[in-house]
Formats: sequence, C-alpha cells, structure tokens
Amino acid sequence: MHKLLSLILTCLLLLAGCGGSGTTTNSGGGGGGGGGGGGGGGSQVIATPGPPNVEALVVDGGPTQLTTTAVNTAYLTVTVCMPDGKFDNCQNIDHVEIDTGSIGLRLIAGPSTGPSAGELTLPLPALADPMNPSNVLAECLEFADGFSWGSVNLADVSLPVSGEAATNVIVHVIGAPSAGDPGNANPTCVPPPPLVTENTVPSFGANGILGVGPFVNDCNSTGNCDPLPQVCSGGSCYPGNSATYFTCTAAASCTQVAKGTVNAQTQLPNPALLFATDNNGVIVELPAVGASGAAGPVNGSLVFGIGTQANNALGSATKLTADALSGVISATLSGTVYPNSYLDSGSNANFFPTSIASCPQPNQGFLCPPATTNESATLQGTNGSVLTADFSVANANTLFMNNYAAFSNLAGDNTASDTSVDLGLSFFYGRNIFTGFENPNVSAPYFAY
Amino acid sequence: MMKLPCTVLGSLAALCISGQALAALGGDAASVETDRASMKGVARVTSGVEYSVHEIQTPAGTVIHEYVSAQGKVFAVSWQGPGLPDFAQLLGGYSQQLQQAATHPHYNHHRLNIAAPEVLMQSGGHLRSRYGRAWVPALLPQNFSLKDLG
Repeated sequence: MHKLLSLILTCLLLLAGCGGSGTTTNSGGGGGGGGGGGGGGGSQVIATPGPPNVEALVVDGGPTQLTTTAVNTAYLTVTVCMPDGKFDNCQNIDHVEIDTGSIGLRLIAGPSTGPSAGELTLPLPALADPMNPSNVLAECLEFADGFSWGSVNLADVSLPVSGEAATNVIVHVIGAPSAGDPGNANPTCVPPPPLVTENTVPSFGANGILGVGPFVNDCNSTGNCDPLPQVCSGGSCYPGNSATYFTCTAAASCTQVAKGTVNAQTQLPNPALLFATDNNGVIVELPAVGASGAAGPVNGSLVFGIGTQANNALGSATKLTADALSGVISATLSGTVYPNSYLDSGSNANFFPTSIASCPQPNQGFLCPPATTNESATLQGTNGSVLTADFSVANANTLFMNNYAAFSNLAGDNTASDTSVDLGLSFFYGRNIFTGFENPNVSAPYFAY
Repeated sequence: MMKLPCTVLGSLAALCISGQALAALGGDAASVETDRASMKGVARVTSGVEYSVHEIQTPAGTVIHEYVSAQGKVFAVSWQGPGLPDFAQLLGGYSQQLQQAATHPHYNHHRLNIAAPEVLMQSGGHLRSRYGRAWVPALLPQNFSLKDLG
C-alpha cells in the first residue's frame, strides 16, 4: 500500500518535473516565525521536484512498520542498484531519513527469508578488506540513542525524481546477516544501557538514512579511520569511536580493522559529493506549518548543489561559515554564547539549554511550557556573518494530541550540552536551509538561509 | 569538606593534577579510583567550596567530568568526545533506572533525553562528536546550576 502510494507520488512528481524548473511559492511567517527562502523578499520559494537536481521530501509518520509515529522526520525514496554501472537491477527504498547531521547512506537489511516490508533485499556485494581480501568489511555506528551494526557494501545509487546518480558508492547495510550478531563482534556493537540496538526498521525509525552532512566521509575526511581504544565494562566491550570499521571472515567473525585498513577512499562517503554535478551542498526546503502542526504528509524538496543551477542560487541567503574540523557555528541565546551550535535535519526538534520544563514521561525529550514562548537566537559564522534564528516553543504534549507528524514549534532541553544550540527539523519549516560541504584543506563547510 | 590534594581557594576553583580517583554517579568519593582505573584514564581535580570536579581523559580521547559534592557524593557526570564513555561504570546503580525509563516514543538518532524517578540523562551526538550528562537532582549542592556542568 505504502509502496504503491510512493510509486504514484514519484510518477506524479516526475511528471511535474517534466515541464522544467517550476517553483512553488509559499508566504513565510507561519509557525516558527518564518524566514526568507532562497528567493528572498520574505517569501519562500520551494523548487519543484524533478530533473536535474531536485528530489522529493516528505515529512510523515514514517514506514508502516513503526509501532509509534515518527515526528519531524523528513524522508525520501532512494534507488539502490547493483554496482555494475547499468542501473537496471535496482530496488526503490522508501522512507529513507534525510540527515544533514551525519554522513553516508545506511539501509536496513530485509529478512533473509520471506518478503521485505520495504527494507533492502538486493544482494549488494560486500566491500573486501584491502589488507585481507578474503575478508569483508563491516561497521559499527554509534548514534546518540543507540548503535547500528552491519556490513559495508557497494551500490550504484540514484535518486528516482531528480535522476542524480553515483556509481560504486560505499554503503552500510544495517542488520545484514553477513555481518553476524553484533554481540559476537570483537569488540561488540552492543550499546551500554540505556542506549539500544537499532538494527531493524521498528528500532531505527526508517528504512535507512541518507547522511548528507557537511563532511566528505563518516569518520575522517582526509586520513585513515583507525579504531580508537575500545571501551570495556562488565566483561563487554564496544568501540571507542562513533564510527568504527571491522574486518569479518566468511563465518562472520568480526574484529576491528588494523591501522591503515580504511583510508579516506574506503569509508562511507557523503553520497551527494559523488554526483557528477550539483555536488557541493544541499538545500532542504520544507513549507511552513501552522502553530498546531501538520498531519502530514508535508511535501518539500531536497535540492542538490549550491549555485550550480538556476534553482539553487544562494540568493539573499546569508552564509555562516562553520568550523572546519567540527562543522559548528556560534549561537547566542538570552545573552549566553553557545559555541558548538548547528542546524541538523536529523534532530527532530530545536534543542537548547533552557529552564522551561521538560514534559513528563513518555515525552520527556521535549519541552512542555504552560504557554507557547518565543525564542530568538543570533547565529554567527567564523566569517563574522550573523543571522537571527527565531522559533517558538509550544507544549509538546498538546502538540502530540492529534498524532501529527510535523511541528515547527517542537523543542527539547539541551542542558546536556550547554555549549550548543541544535536547530533541528522544527526550524526548517518555512525556510530553505543550505548545508555547504567542506572541501578539505581548501574551504570549510557552511550553513545558510 | 572532603580532603583533596589541592589547594582550595575560596569559591575560585584551583586546578591541579591528582591521583585522586572517582566514583560512579551517586557513589562515594571515598570509594574512588575505580572509574579512572577502569577507564585507564588520566585524572585531574578542580575543587571549590561546594563541590569538586574530577576529570578523566580516556585513551580514546573522551573527556569525562565527575562532580563530587562537599558530602563526598558524585552528583553529576558529563562526557564529550569521539565516542561514548563506560556507561556501566559511570552511571553505576542508576543504569537500570535509566534503562527502564528509556521509552522510545519518537525516533531521534542525534538526541536521547531520559527522565527517571531519581536521575536524568541527556545524550547528544552530531557528526563525529558525542556528548552528554547525567545527574541526580536530590544530590545537587544548594545553589548549583546545571549550567555549571561542563
């Protein structure tokens, strides 16, 4: 059902794209205080999905397998093909989360027997260990909320609406049987409580994730991704780095790679950097939503390239250069400076240090003020440019009553890092948010809107 | 006031390198050294009137702070670095409480906020950096601001 719908939608969008570079105009100002888009003049212009560089995004409740609805998660469909350059043996994966806060294409593996509910079943070849070609590579990725474990494979990747494509992309197949049980790896890829294992669609919240953050690779943009010392407790160990590569025998006996095994060319890359053109950044374009949120689907666009086509010019947007090593900018909120701030489509709310009360369980991750409040941050790049970031904070328990998927005024407490303001997907509605990729040793990444 | 091999200069924190070790969240400072030894880390202590901060740098480069009250209890811990610290050691007896409270109502790979009856934890992760804190409200020194956790 879901698949059919997304196929129809894709076809409609393809048709819509045939006429050329159409645009949709929405007046800014709804929900979160609004903001100028790429078109300037206070109104947001959302590029119409279609060739050569605009992919369709949708904010909805997530894949059908989810037991609880996803909120503020933007998804797209990715076409994954056997890596033979032909693009004729492919599988469409819907509900892949778009994430400007991580790097790499990661897909959840389908069951080894029986039908897939949308997960990857195409038998992509594994990437061999260059130091020991009879072995294959695997990866443990530590997200903030849990660990994902799976094989490292090669795929040709295309995007069905825009037609953007890249061959021989290194991807992470999470939960792939060939990588074996994460508990059998050495060290394990089993997270310490209260973090959880996220190797299935219901635990991951998506059929995959497309990380198009500002960096070239998921671990090290210019050098080797060597494992850091592992962390051991209670007889169990896990990797010391957020991205760690493993080498596995045919019997799925996996150990951390030796130094020098995984260089800058053999890590998970930012797939958007591999496109022939339109490869220097992305723009996430989502329409404004009202103060009560939107049920979804909320349709938007993911534009590839910045200043490479008529539809992706920086225009009147202000460029905030980020720190070259960490990709962060500075934010000032209520007189306090937060030097490690960022914009991140993969965070489902605006997270900032605040005295506003968090909601009781189970929505403890979000804020529940007695009445909606307004916040105004000043963002500053290393280039000295500044931007005002206005957003509202509504009561999350009230927002969630309608079981909606999209909210511009959903926020959470980030006292955990009183060095950062994390402007998540809440902030993206009604604004075209640019993420400019780094060019290692040449130019730093940047944000703009 | 707990005994520390540091000079305490009023409310101004003094910094010195120390072999003084640490305890898990809620633990007794007297039972220490366990964490540092377990994490094979290098420790140093900053002390003030109401509390002292013990810093451990792990071999993987993660920096951990443990906050010890004048009563000798670890009331908060924080971490920042390329990976996660030894949660079992750091969270101690509160691990299970946090796990039970870790409902997963909305997916967010870059954020985890948990409020258990006696302990709160916030964990974040963006690109190549991971950070977080856990604290026990009942053990916080008077007038202590969570903004002082660093």
